[in-house]
Amino acid sequence: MKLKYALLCLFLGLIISCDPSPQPVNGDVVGWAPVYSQDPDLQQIVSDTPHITLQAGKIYANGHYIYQNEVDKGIHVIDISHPAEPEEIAFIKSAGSTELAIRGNYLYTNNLNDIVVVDISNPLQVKEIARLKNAFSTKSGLYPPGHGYFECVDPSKGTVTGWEQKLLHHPSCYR
Amino acid sequence: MKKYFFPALLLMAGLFSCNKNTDSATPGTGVSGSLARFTISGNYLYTVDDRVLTTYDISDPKKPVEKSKKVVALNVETIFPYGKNLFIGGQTGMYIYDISHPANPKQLGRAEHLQSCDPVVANDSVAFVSLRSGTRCSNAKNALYLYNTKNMLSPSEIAMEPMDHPEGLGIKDSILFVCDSMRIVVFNVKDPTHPVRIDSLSNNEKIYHDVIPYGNLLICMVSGGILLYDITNTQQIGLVAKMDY
Repeated sequence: MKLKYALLCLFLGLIISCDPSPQPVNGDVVGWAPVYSQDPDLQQIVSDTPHITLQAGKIYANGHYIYQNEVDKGIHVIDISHPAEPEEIAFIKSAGSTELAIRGNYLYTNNLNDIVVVDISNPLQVKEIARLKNAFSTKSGLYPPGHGYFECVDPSKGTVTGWEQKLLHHPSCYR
Repeated sequence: MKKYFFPALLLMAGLFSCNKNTDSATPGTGVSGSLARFTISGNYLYTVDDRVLTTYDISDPKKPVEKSKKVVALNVETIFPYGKNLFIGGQTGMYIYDISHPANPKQLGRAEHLQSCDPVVANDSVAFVSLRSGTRCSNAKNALYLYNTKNMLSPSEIAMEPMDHPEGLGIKDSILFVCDSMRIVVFNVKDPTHPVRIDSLSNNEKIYHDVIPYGNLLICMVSGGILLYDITNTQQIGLVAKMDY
């Protein structure tokens, strides 16, 4: 009997721990709420002068450049034409960026929950040429950083830029 | 005692299922480190989020088109292309996909292991996986595993090398570079059943996180900067440049 109970609990636990499907709760409960931003600047992919690296992310090499992600901020462009004297020449701003891949003159990276295609033929003057809405996010994007009830993301309210813990009324998402 | 039974089980189930807070070259395509979640092969961009492999046709970069979505496993973390295959690393194993039909990747074999963090790189017949322990990946051993992938449907372990705390890794011909805490361990893997340690690189106690063998250069992502090594002669690897943040 005890074993059956244990297995049942385990099963239930597995179901509700990873699935964002609604598990309604009656009343108020402390949980996670997305912080939205309507700031259009967050969706701007532009070149900037070199930035200081604060939180170094993934690396990528193409042509005579190394590209290094600055976690959630964008991409450092480092010229290695003279390998003994690498030089950062530009910074490509992309809020929420953590990933990158390049083919030819085109950079594919994430901008918050979107994937953007960026023409980088001139790293000092990059240009967004395509955007796939809500195409990519890891758990940090559509899901809160911790477990528990959370307010489901509503893309119409803007872009999720973070999460906060607060009292929620009838939250319908759980992880 | 009994009243804690259910919450304890729930917590365990949650930990096991959600324990995460978290290339071969195509012409004109760059080279990623081993921790990448995006990769390009031919006219296709492949991305892995926490569990899904998504394929985009990027023949026209102005109009990328989603072609397929495949559930890989829970807690997927890295993707590495080699020839007609994708090697996907996750916290529960390494998964091999066939991309002969690039718009529609098909799962072949997998090598499963205990919970860990595991970037993977590969060559014609071997997949190299580094497993490390850590806060997100509590149960792992710290080791480098080599799998024979001649049969992509059932990769088999052929060697294991204990490491301190391995992270990213990269391969050039038969030389394998493994970031291992405060050093890079250089292996000759010509005979993959007996990897031979031929060198160890370190620099002022910097932590090596990931590496890209790029022609004659070895690009290293380290704590506080980037290091470049000359690997023209792997018997005599020299530091070329050091970028400090």
